[in-house]
Amino acid sequence: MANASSADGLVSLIGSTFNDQWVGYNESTTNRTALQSGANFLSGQRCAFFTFPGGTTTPTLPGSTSGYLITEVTPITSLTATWYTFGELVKLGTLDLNGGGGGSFTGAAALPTRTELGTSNALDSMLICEVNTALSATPGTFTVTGLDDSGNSVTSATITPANSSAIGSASIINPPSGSNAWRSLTAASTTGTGTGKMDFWGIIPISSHSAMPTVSITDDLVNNGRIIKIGASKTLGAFLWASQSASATKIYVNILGDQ
Amino acid sequence: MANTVFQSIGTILQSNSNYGQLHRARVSNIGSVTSVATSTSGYNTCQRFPQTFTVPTLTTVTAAFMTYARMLSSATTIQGLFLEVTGATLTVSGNSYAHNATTPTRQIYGATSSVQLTCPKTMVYISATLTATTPVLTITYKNQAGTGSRTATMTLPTGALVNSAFDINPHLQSGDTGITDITNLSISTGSAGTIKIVYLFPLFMDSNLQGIPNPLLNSQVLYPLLANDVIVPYRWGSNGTGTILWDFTLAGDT
Repeated sequence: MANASSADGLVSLIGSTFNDQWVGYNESTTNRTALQSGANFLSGQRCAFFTFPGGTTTPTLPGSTSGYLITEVTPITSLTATWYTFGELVKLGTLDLNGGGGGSFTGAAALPTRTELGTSNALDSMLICEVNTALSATPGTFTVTGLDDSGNSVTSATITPANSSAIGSASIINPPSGSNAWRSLTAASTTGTGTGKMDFWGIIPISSHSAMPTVSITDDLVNNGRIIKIGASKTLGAFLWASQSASATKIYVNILGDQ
Repeated sequence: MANTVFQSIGTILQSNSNYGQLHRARVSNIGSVTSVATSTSGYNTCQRFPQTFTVPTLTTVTAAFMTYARMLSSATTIQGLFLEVTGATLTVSGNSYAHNATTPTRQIYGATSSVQLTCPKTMVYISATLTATTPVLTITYKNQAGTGSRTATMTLPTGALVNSAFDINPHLQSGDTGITDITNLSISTGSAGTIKIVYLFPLFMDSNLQGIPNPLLNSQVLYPLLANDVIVPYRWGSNGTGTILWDFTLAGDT
């Protein structure tokens, strides 16, 4: 049986199993908002949502396969001099401003545990926030609390998003002093009032690369030493950094059945 | 640590199939400016970013190699990911020196056993802002041949700021190409702050917005990583506040 444990096996998968291309897409006809300004903050925008037959997560695996192998990723965007991060997204929670009183936080999943280098590890990630519903003119300062990369439960960090931030605006929340990344969120609140919602995401990276309108750059993952296999029911997404301009982006993802 | 990973695409695939690769996306940031280097302090302005990655426990594999990496810097800079080992610490108050470690031993260059590494890029890292006016830092070290009592002298900027880093290599004694140990540190003046001497071993380097080079495709020394090794992002060419986004993969070796 063909399998993904050798170069020949990988080639034979093309003939013996399925190959396909997933396409993620998003467009914004108006500018997004720089959620955080200043060189020590990285802001950008959601640039790709992925939909599949039957839903927004990776589909049920075809018979005889145990995962999707992602072999290449190609971004095409209308913006210049940007950079994207594409990966498996894990929603860590949502904060609803809810008129004040600290807002209402709904926790979600933690980053999963996976076998890496022969050992089961709790994954961690940078923390991405994305405006789910446009923020009011007084969103205030958000404080998020959760488990950091060492499993410490006392970490908290703040972000003061720009007033009236548009849907799709995104930024990375810097880790608090002494921590490097996040495993999960346990709480979030705001000093602001009004309406709006912010989603918080962890990301298991698949591809990061420069992206530009005039040159198509393919990230050839296998030949660059990154082997990605994902299962069914995963959320994929991508963010562009360092630009909030109106734009359209497509992320083409080539896949193979893993056996 | 025989480097069974970097043999072919097939061995990388096999490693993933057997052990699973490790993938991480991280962000590191510096929220206040750092100090500018001069001809007496390494020449090239450098910043050490405080958020790091520690290699987890390795039970089935003996080491890990970085096979994929990408970095985005918020400024026009050269940036890199390094295996960092702290060699020595100087507490400025009291001019108090502490030895931390020699350079590590690793199996590289196709060697059949581990050898003590010579550090190609040893840095002065300001881990707590100094209170000191143009202090002269004297570093006593062993060179690439293990010869001791060698000295490097640097004049650091007044009040060198936390997260600043200064390259020692331009100030090594004539004929020396690297460092294997720090045996003493002393400072001419100052009342506060902390200086660390750190050994850097490059895992990946890139210029901003290129995003194309990979460790796999770079002709450079491939350092095997062990449990509890610390990977740290650095950048050259800016002393401003800034952000680095880094995304990398480790593959297991047996």
